[in-house]
Amino acid sequence: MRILVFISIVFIGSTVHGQNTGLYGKKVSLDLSFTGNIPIINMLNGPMFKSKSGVLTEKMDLLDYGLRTGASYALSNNFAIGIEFDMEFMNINAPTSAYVPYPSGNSEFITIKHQALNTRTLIFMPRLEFTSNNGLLPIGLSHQIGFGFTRTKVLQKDYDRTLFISTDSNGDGPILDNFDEDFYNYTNKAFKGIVLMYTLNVRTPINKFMMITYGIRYNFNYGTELAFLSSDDGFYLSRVDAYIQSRSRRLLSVISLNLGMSFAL
Amino acid sequence: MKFLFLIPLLICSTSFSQADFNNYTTLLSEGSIPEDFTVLTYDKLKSDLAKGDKNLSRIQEKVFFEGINYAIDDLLHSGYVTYGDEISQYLEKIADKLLKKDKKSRSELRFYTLKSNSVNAFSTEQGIVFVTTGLISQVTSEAQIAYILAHEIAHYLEHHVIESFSYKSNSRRKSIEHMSVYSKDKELEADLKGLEMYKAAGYSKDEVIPTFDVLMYSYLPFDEIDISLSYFQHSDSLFLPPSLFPDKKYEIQAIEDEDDSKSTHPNIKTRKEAIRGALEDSNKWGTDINFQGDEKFKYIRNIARFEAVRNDIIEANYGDAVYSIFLLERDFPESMYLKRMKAQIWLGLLMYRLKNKISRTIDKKSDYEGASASVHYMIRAMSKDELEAFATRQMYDIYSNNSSDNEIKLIWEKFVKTLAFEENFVMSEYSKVNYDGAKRIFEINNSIDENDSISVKETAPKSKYDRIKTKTGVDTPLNFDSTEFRIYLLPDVIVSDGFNSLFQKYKDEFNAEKEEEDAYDAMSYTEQRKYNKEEKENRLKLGIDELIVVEPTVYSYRKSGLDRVKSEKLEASFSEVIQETSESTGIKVYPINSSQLATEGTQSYNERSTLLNMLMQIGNSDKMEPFPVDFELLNQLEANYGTSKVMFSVVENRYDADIGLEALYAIIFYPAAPIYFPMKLLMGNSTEINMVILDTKEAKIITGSSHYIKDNARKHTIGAHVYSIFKQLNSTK
Repeated sequence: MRILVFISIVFIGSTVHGQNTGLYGKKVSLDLSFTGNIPIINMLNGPMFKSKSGVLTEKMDLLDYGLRTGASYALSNNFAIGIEFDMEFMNINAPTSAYVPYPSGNSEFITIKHQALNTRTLIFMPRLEFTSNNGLLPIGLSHQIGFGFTRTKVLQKDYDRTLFISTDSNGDGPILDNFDEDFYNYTNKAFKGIVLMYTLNVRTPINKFMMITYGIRYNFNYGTELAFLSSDDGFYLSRVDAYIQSRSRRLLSVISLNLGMSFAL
Repeated sequence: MKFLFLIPLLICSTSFSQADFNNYTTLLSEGSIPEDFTVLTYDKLKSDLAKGDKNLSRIQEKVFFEGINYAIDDLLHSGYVTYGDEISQYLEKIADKLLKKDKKSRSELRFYTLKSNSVNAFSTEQGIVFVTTGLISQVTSEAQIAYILAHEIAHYLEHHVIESFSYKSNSRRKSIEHMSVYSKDKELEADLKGLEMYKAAGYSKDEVIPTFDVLMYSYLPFDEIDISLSYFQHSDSLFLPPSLFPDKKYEIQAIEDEDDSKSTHPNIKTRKEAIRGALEDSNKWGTDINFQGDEKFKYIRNIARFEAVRNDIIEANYGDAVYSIFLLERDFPESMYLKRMKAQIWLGLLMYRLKNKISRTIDKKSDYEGASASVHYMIRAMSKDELEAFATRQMYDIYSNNSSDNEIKLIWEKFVKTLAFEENFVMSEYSKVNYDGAKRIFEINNSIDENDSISVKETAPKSKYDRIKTKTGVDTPLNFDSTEFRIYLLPDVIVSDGFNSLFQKYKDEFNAEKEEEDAYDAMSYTEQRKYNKEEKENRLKLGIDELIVVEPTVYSYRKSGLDRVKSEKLEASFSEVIQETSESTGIKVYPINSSQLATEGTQSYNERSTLLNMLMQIGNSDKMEPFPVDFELLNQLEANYGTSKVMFSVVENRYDADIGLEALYAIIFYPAAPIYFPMKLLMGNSTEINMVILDTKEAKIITGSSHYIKDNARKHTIGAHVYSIFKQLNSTK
């Protein structure tokens, strides 16, 4: 039957293929996938404090993760438009020292072991999807590019921490009654940013309407609001510091992998 | 009592069903389908591996059994093998006689006919013995077949491990010659063991040595009878210059003592010498030559010889086919089958000549040997115009004598269409008088003595001015030259109303197409692009609602080569998805799958073989669109299914990340590495889906589709593409 290969080459000549018929005619796809990346570059900054059963230990931050949802519509075999709504979680370091007041009216630095702070980034991104000439979107290997908007927030939760306090010359300890409230203003508005994305994505159909989707994504994040922030807002972790850290983490988080399911409609 | 016992035997040997050679149709399988054809190769492999082979290590076993099982099954499903047919039955009876005392071995062996002009027989580890029709066509007795079978059975019984085994269908003839290669020692051993079996069966001693002669001259046609130019002159008035035929005989070159260092078998001299010793050492020989009867043997051989013509046409070996028909017409002058095949040959020769590929259909000059060389010489000697006219002459004679035959009529129409689509065929160049008539006119006009030779250019005695005053034309030439014989080949053809109207009809079609081409040429680049795009989009829109689908062929490659097991599993999976997909696209699919043969049976097997043979004929034809050799069978198939559209598809899949030297750069410039390596790894999958749709009415590819995708070949990936193709096929322009 190798003659068939020969015949195909000789007789078909140029490529002919069907038009815009999607996965068994379904042109809309809904994507739901988990994304993760190992923040290798961030590891160079050293470990973070992680809590396990209330005990804080120094550990490398091994995984940033998130959830991606998206919808695409195939305008042709090779081209689709879509939108994406993602949620990504990362950790940032809390301050390791704080300038705390004493009853005497003086203030001194104390050492803090604080559980890494969780941030959540919401991403909204229109995207374009295209394939080579022989593609049949939504299935197969495709290139996705998108330009989106990000909003990052430090999440409020009951973080574990250990404060290494000392008494002053009067034998008094620092005033820490409002430490929690004064640690960070969780009601701060989310940090805004933009993201440029390229994904090499594969959707492999497993039946007539479901596909396994996987791929590799390259993100170029940029924070847009540093100039508008005040550097001292009276909290142990100022908004600026939190912003700078999260921006840095996102900026260095260039490559991520995703794995999930797509549904064709 | 002994005599009475022989009576039923005699009845058996003479009362066989006579194929009608006048209305011959190719050999088809008969009876229930053997398991060899229905069991999945993967299951055969598992079974063989479970049994094992003590001579082989575990790895060798895997490689050997996988290779051999898939190679044999490739052949079994190639469309060239028949079972239960008259030749196979004949072979089975010979085997009964050879293994009369070894019932166990007899029950293990199966004999199948292989439609090939290669002269070969070979046995396999599994107990299958294939015998080619080429071999049967060459032998002169049943005993010779018996000796060859005994030799192959000996290989099987002695568990000779073959040294190599391969079958690649794209060079079929050579592949079949090398299907089964044993060492030379094993061949000599099989000769001697086979001789014992042959003798015990009661066959004649005198037929052994001639068997080797058959093998020695097997590369020649099945008979050696001189053919003359007159064979092509159907009437006295048709003139063909003697120079078209060679003035010498091409001697047969075969020698017994050839250098066999590069051959798979010992040379004939060595084999004969070894056998002669054994023949002289033994006595009490039987006398059977044609145990099943002389008539039966000739009948079986004739089937094989008719198949030889068909095989040559499938492979576009038209020179050989002409000579084979010449040989067969001596016994079957009224055979309509031979006339049809002859018509196909002249059509084929015309097509190949017009495309300047005539060498593909005839022997190389260096291969000219024996009587058949004259045919090859003649075809090669003719110029394009000459062969065009000569083929038209031959074709017209066949058509005019058999115009009521539908197949010949359709071949004739295709022939005329081919002529009409050839710009260089200008009817006004041809004379309305034949050669003799033109010669007389010339002689009268030029007052030449009738006894003068006309084979060289004549100088007319009339003055220049006399000649100018004489009305000249193709029928009244100024010069008369035998080398211009082609002009006088078609006097009756070009005045025939039937020919003229048909020719004009196709000429109009041709002109319309040409006008369209001219209009295309006049378009701007942008217009041409738009036109091409529309054409491309419309190529699949054929409004098909019924389709015969032959199972897809899958080649799934791993790093070390073809993964046959995976390929076979994918074939079954893709067949299934094609069937499922078709239902939602409005196309009713009639599957013809090798995996369904167990339930569908012999009719399905024969249909599949017919379609594969057509595919092979097209594949061999260098895009010439030949007339289908099995026209009648294809018509029956169309009648059975209600459609003449057949889909063949092939899927090739491989994973190759293609990480090359540039990987070093990616490592050196390490920020590039996280981009380079993931991309290479993700894009390593590639799958190519090629599909062609043929119309069995014309053995013509009507459309095709090729999808190259960067993804793995999974069931629903293929299904989605099939859906896309089917939707297009179902729609109209």
